[in-house]
Amino acid sequence: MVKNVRYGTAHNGLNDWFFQRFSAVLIALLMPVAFALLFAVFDGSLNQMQLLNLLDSYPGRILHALFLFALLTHAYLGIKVIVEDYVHIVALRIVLMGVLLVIAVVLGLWWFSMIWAWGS
Amino acid sequence: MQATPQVAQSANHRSPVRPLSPRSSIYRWRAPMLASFAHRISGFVLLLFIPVYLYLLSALTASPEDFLRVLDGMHSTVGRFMLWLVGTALIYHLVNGIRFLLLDAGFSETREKMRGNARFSLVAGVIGALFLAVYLW
Repeated sequence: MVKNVRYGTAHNGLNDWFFQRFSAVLIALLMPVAFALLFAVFDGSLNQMQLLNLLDSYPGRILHALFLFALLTHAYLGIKVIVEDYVHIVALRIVLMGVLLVIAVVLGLWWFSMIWAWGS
Repeated sequence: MQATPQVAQSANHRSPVRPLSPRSSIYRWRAPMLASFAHRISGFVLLLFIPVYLYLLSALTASPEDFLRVLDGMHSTVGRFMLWLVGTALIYHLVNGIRFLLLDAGFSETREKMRGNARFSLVAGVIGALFLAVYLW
């Protein structure tokens, strides 16, 4: 078993590891749908009304919100891995991850409010 | 505490300095390393796409004029190239991500199998890129 030993600055990598993979499974199921819709719009097989009917249905809104949380979580954890590997100045890591967290929250709020504002 | 030739002792830490993880300059270029590196690159490309996706989403669901304007933008050379780039990154990141999940689950951990399925991911990315290019142009 994994003992509760503190390693490095993150102390324990298991939570990050788990959430990165858990969000990956959700994204693997949902992101192809988002891209399929985008390409359907691109090649003209989906017009604006049809797109809106899919997006502002309740299943559409809920799946989209789930997708956005999973995607932003996954992106944050992925960049954290890259920053921990390539940025060797610890103070800079903290600043970078703080900035990224703020950007992720702002994007998430914008996205979330957009999803739930359609049709109102 | 042993000082190895490549790992310097840091002045302000008492613990021995561990080797920093991706020592890209001394690794040999093998398929698994390339697959891992490409996973990071494609992930970063997909990260940059998040604001673009939000812009597309907001404009495509705004007025009919906005919809048509964005549709024209998507059909421009720059628009097609961006769709191709993120689509390729998605295909590769998805295939290699499933590979990573399978490796985590304990499948195919021998060196030969790791090399084989790393090549599979890379080839899938290239084939996906070609198919996407044909579809987009």
